[in-house]
Amino acid sequence: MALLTLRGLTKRFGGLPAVDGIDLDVDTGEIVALIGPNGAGKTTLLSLVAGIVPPTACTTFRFGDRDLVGAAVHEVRHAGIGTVRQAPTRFPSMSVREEVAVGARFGRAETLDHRTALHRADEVLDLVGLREQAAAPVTSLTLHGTRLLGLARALAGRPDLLLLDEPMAGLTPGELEHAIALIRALRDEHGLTVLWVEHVMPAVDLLAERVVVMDVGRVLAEGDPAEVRRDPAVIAAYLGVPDAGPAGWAGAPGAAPSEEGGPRAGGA
Amino acid sequence: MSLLDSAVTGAPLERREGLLRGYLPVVLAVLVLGLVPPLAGGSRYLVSVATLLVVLVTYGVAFNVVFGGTGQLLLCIGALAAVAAYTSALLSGELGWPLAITLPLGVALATTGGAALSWLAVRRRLDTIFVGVVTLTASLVVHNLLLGRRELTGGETGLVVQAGSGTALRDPVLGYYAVLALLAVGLAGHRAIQRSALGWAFRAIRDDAEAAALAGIDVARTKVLAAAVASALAGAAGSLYAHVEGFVSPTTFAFATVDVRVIVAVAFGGLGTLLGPVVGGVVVTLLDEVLRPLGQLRLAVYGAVLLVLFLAVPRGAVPAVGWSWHRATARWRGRGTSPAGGR
Repeated sequence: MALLTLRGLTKRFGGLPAVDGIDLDVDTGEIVALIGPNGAGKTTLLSLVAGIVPPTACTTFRFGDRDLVGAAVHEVRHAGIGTVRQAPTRFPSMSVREEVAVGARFGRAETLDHRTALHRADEVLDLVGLREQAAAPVTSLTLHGTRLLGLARALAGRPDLLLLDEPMAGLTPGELEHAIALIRALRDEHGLTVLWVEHVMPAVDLLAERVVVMDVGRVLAEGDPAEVRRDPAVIAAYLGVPDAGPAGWAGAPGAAPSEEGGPRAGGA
Repeated sequence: MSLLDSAVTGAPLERREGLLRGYLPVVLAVLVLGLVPPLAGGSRYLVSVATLLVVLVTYGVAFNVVFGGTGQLLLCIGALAAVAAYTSALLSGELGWPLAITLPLGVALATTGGAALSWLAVRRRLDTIFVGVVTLTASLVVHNLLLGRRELTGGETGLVVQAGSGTALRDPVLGYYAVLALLAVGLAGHRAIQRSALGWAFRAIRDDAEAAALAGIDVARTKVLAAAVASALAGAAGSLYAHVEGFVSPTTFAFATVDVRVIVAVAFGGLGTLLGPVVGGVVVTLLDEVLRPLGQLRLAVYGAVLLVLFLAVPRGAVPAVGWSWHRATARWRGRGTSPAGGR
């Protein structure tokens, strides 16, 4: 059955539709990749679901048995949707363990106590492979480390659905392999559902069970990766363009900053 | 060492001392301030300066909770104190209502006002500077109302506070202990917040409000709550001071009198730290006494001090001293490491 149901989701920025009447269903346990050329509206769609950006119009936004039309960011989080943005925002005054513990403490409507939150943080840090950096300041992490931190903070709040915005962009081949294995394990072993924006096509081929292609705010095509690859409309709109990398989302206020503006740590 | 760390530089979230250790800095600060009247040797002047100091520190704690805690630049601490003080003074003076009713009423009015400003700022998604502009404007409105409603407030001449005369509050030393008791409540409250889930939420919001919301924190509610707590404390301090002094005027609560001093004190002491306002308040009070001959020019000196502080030690002089102290002693003990968590 559908875990997430969206109908007529629309966002206009000054008359210009960034997301234009999207209908989307995501079933429990699915890994769905959201692809499309720059400016297609993918990040805006994730921001709408996360509650960061209020929609211009939305007839249905159901998650499980919850109606989330007009819900605030923390209400979406409490319903069980964990969001990791492309340039993950951090709590610069905290250690890795503390930041993840914040996610554990407040991730659900019922606030966890001090000790339980820290314990939960340690479990999640083990899961994503950041345990050794637990005591390090969050500002000391590499790009991949920062993404893992964002993921850990989201996971610590015990989500049912993960929204990931370009988690693979800019990773080394080794890091990419780790990220792919991690997301697969989250679904296979922890039962999470994943809706995921990605530009790195090899990762999409390896991981996605269903691909939704967006262009100018609409769904252009959807299906399994191989099927979508053969779609002439998709080839014209997107695949003809060589991997442009995770560039900024021009014209979309509030969208994630470009890679150049994102956190970058000089990893040795 | 960890006492200094936790009291001055703000403890890492994950470490939470036992009750005794956690509240020890509060107890020590209040005990030290409690020694002033016996040491003043019966000097009314010294006790009156100390009373003003304790009230200033209490305002500082309020500002520290709302700005140091959640990053809301509430530039109306003086105005909120004025609202509570004039409400209580007028209702008791004109209508003869007992202090037990008018004091809480004044505090409630200030709390509502501060919370409403915060709610407005949250709803309109104002950033730090705009919150500052809006609340500064509210300050000026209150100030001009006090000046303009002369028949009620006495205008710039001020108002002799009838209520409270003949009570223990008018005894300088007992009055001093009354404001000190309120400061103790304020400091203990701040410590309790730091130790609770609310303290975690404050830290997360101050670090990054959007990330805090994504982590599940109700940012709007937390911000309004912080503003309400700060406004209540500022209001209580203002009205208590009015009844201890027996006199209020617009100058008592003017932006230049209260807010400028509070900002300098908290910036010097270290934003968001438990004892920052205490240390900063003492320094500002000493500065005040030294600069008294300069009259209004003192404000220029405050401006210069503020500039130097923000440029040289943006996190406050006291945390900077704390870190240097920690590093020095760590080296002395043969361990050249910085405190975990970097705070």
